[in-house]
Amino acid sequence: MMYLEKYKTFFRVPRDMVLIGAVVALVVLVVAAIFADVIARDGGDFIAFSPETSYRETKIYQSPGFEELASDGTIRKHVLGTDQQGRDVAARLIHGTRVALLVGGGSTMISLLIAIFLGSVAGYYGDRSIRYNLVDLFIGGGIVVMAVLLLTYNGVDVSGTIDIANVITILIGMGLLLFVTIRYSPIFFSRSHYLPLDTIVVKLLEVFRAIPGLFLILAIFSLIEKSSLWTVIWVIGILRWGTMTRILRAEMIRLKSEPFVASLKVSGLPDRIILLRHMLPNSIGPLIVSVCFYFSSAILIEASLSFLGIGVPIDIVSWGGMLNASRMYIGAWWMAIFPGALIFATILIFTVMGEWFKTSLKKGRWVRNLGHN
Amino acid sequence: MFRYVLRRILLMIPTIGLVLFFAFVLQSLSRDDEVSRLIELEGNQIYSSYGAYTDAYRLKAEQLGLLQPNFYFSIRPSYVPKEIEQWIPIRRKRGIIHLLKETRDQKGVLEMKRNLSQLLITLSPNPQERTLMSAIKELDDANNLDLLKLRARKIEDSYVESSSTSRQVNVVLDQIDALEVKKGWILPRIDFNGRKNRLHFWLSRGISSEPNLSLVDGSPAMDKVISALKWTFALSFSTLVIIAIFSILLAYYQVKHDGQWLDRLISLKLYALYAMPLFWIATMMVVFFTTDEYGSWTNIFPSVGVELMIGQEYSFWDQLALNAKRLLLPILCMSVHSLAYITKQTKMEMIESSQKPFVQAARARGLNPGQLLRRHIMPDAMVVYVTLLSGRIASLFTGSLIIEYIFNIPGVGKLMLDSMEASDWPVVFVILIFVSVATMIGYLIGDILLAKLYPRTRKELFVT
Repeated sequence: MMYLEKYKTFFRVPRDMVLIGAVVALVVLVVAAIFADVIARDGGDFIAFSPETSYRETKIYQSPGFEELASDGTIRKHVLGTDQQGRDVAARLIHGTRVALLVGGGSTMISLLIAIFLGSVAGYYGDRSIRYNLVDLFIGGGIVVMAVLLLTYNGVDVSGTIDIANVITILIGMGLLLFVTIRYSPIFFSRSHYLPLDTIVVKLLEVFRAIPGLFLILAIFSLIEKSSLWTVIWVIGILRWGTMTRILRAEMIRLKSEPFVASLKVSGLPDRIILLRHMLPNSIGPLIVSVCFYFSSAILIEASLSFLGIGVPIDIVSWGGMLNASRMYIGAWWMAIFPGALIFATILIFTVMGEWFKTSLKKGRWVRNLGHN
Repeated sequence: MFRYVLRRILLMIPTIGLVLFFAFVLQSLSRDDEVSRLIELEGNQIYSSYGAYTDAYRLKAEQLGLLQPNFYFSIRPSYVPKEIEQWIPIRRKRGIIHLLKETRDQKGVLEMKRNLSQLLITLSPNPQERTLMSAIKELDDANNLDLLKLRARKIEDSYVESSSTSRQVNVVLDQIDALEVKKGWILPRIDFNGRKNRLHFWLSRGISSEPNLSLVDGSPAMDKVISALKWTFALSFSTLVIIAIFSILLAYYQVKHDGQWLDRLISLKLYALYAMPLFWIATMMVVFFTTDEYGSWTNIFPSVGVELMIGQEYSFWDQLALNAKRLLLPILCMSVHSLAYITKQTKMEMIESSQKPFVQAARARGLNPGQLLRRHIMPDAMVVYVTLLSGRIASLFTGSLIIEYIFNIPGVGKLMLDSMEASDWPVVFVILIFVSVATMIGYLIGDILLAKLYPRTRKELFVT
């Protein structure tokens, strides 16, 4: 009948078993990424082909199971076939794991750092904790405007880097200005107002929500002349802090009204300590969930980018690039299925982990041991 | 309701402003010399002399508003004069700044450069002086002092004696000799530019006109974007309609027959479709179902790619009608992917709200399951459905970049990729702005729709 207590899937596998499966698969992927050079190399024991060498015989691409003389003199099988240039698909897949996990991990770390900073500041301090006066406004605003202008002023340096000497002199000048204004400013200037930190962050979130992600990433890549793996990691990491910031901000707002924060405040702890030592460890649950989802979506974005032929340099093996090549060779079904399946599996691993943590959080087990309850 | 809409629109204005500013900052980071590319496009004739070329360059740059500083005020190192923006081309401007940085000698460097460009203008109509001309051009390109002096010495050794303009050349060489590296503190200087700046020019002319010309064919970027938008819109709108109809039907069926084998099969398939990357689904479809490589029964869909008829007599609608068959597969791929997610969420919400007290009360009053589902559970659970669909409204103008790439549809995403490849960045940024503003308007429409249907959502003006 229709009103079942639980939402059931087709296979009734216990949740924890699914998680264990995902973790095991993740470990396998990580091992493959770390030891890719050992597993798949010329004359290796496991896969006797390296990802970059062309093993070409009669046809352009060969189906799975095709046997060929490897470099060590024995006849070996191309387990998953070869691609359009006669390169071993299995070896390429194993080497592609490295790129996927590096981009996923690196960019998630970057977004996590940005999100922790912006989210906790916006959530904890809110609109009505930090005061400023007009002097601060002029100086802070001046510094921000100057930084933006220095970056945009296309005459700062021919080579594209910022002139450090300029920045230093400007900072010294601002410092002097600060000193003089504070020392001699009339009382009128020192009347203070609240700094709407929260509103600023929320506005920023709104701006980034409005710009479609992939388009923004592409626009930024159109400015970068020569991109490497690290550029991809940085661009994906820096542009995708939105969701995580939103989650952390909401979590901080929730925690702020908990009694333990009030008691910590009463006992005289500085805000910084309350925030870093007590509130952040308590919001670790939602953070872990969103880290899992970020990981999977970063891998997906990287795969999409290399599918479009943007970002990751063409000489680095990546799953998206392999999948893109398959569109030209419709006869070679193995070139379309295996890279795609691996992307799918990797994304699924992180999604399953994220879902598991999310459900555990809802049930309230697993977080109860942490923190101050 | 009216007040809500008004507030919502007013809140949108600063966001649009910020997006525009952000796009401008990104655009000004580009280091390409767009003017020379545009001139090459427009002037089919080869310019008779260097002077004519410079004049054309200056005219074009003025028209694009490039001979202006970036912002309402600018901060420059004190050795850079305010008039630096007037120097063309951009290469030379950057070279001058670099030289100024090394020498801190405003008068010397500018005087030298002025003489150098004068020399180029007088030399260029003269065919005998070609070697000297190219040497001087090299001299002009040198953007650091060492290189400059090296090239100057080379000219001194070989060319000067035979030249008819040797006096002029000598003046320049002497001026180069007089330049020396100087070190010391740099002080910033603030110049106020008033309304004569690029940002103001750019904003006041609007994204439709001069400042944004495509560097590939010289046409306004806006025209290109709008003709691409038609395709994207056609594609996403039909996808939206399909999703809207089928997701609610599927969710209804699944809840009605919850737990039966067909429901569970659909659930599993939906879950798999939802987790599969869109570009994998599309690639597999293309590989397996567009040719008879794998048996004749798999040749279901026509081959990939939209074919555009060239000619004025074909309107957009004609093109669409001619290609309708080819658009089937992309629409199918896009809708299948989103359908999975929306159906899953709607179903979950329905099941959740079937446990709420008001449903229990209704059941106690003796309503049968069908009535319960249609009259009480569905209206309550539809909030998720409407929210998700209104999110899709925002992406009506964005479409799916990857689908457009795979199926070669001339939409916005494809235009973006092509423009990127041709480093046609005015078009890239016009697309970025247009798509962002369209997304915001989409969110606005979605929010208004949601607020009309579910007044309890009105308070959430901010994202939380």
